Amino acid sequence: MSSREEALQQVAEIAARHQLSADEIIKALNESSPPDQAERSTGILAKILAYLGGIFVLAGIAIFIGMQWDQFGSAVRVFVTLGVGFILFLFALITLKDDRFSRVTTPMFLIAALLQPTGIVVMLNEYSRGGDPEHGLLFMCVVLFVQQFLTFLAINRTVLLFISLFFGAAGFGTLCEILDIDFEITALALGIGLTLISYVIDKSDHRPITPFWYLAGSVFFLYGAFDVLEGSVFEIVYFGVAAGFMYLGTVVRSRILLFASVIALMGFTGYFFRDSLANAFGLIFMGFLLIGLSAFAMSLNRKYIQARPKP
Amino acid sequence: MGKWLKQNLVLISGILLPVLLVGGFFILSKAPAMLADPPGYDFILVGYHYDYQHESNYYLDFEVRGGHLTARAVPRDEKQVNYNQQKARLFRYEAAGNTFEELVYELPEKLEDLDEPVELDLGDAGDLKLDKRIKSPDGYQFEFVGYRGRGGLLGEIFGMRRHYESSYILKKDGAYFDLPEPSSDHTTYQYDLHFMGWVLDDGSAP
Repeated sequence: MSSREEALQQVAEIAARHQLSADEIIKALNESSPPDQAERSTGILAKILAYLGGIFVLAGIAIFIGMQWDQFGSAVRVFVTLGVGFILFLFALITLKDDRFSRVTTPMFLIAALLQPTGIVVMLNEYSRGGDPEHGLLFMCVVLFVQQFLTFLAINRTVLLFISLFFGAAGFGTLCEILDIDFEITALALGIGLTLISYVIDKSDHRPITPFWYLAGSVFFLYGAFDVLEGSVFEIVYFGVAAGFMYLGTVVRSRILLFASVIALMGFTGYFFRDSLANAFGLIFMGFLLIGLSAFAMSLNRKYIQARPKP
Repeated sequence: MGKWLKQNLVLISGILLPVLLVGGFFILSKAPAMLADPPGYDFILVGYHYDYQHESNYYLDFEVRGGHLTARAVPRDEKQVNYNQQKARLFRYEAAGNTFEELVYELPEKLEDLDEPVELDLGDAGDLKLDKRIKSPDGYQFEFVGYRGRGGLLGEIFGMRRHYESSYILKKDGAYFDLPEPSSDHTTYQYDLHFMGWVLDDGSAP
């Protein structure tokens, strides 16, 4: 499929997702002037410099806080982390009302999602009287999950769903650790949960975040499955598990799942035949296998992922 | 309701399946310990320690002879180095409270000039009647489990690994009971505890 055809397919997908009619698209195309190459280059340069400037300012503030940390009392420490994080979160909500600041909303939510958990941990560290640190981490994850998910339900921003999933998964993992659940079981559970939830998100307007969560879900599941099967008589079943994820990748049309399953198949082949492949010929065989699997994955990608339009 | 369930089946599965998997595993792993009788016998441990700052020319050797705990200070020669047995502390595990109590004993004077092995007076600890078999009369076994995290690389990154109060457990069939740290001095005794025997005759038996 050529890049023009791909672009047209993407336009069709976006139109279907946002229920845009052909007339509306034509009208929008007629209204928009063709991009000026020089103006576009200047715009990109300005954007890069602005981002760099923002990163420098943030890094400077972080370094300054780090230098002064020992001089800060408990209240100041909590304020410069949790307080600033919460203010940024509120500011991000305010920017939703004003189109001029629409581009800073997502970075604000992300920085708030970084500072607020740090602040909660700092607060617990400063004011708690002993106790298990894992309970503190669980508390932090629950608070952030509730805040982000309720805000997501209210304003429907994709970034909030991403952060909610992150703290939900981290909270689940911490709870499992507190309950003494083996990591392979936790990984399997997280893998199943994240993959299925990603599948649901993939059908919605929030699909841009699904590749990351498909990757996280597949890595957790394939890792957990390997750990459960490793050393048992059913070890060979892992080929089927990885192949199953490859099939799933074609069904849900996810290149990331395809990628994760190919890596898992490659890794397991190397592990399974480690005694017979630990020589020069083994390396050559593994090389051909890698080429073959990647060619197979590319053909699956062309046949089942690119060719079919998304529902 | 039925229609809503059908429409959101994948989402519901995505939330319920992990909870069921973890819940099922939790019940299966904890059920044996809940159903089994808790450990009923006290036991004695000796924790050896090497003090590199104050090297001595003897080592301490604890063992059970004739059903009683005995200890000797033995002069060290090149064949019998036993650096890690330079010092020792005795602990009694009290099953009733799942706690450890340290048993104090005194070393004889002038041990640095030792030429021949000398018996140590262990006080009350020496009077205890001990069964040095690995399994207690009620079927429990003292085990060192060490670092039991099986999380591998991902487990290290996410900090998810099984955590226990100490590196030692009491195990009976599928049931295990975590033992507390015998001493708050983690660096010294965590990995060098030696089982001596089960205490038989002073009322600790069920």
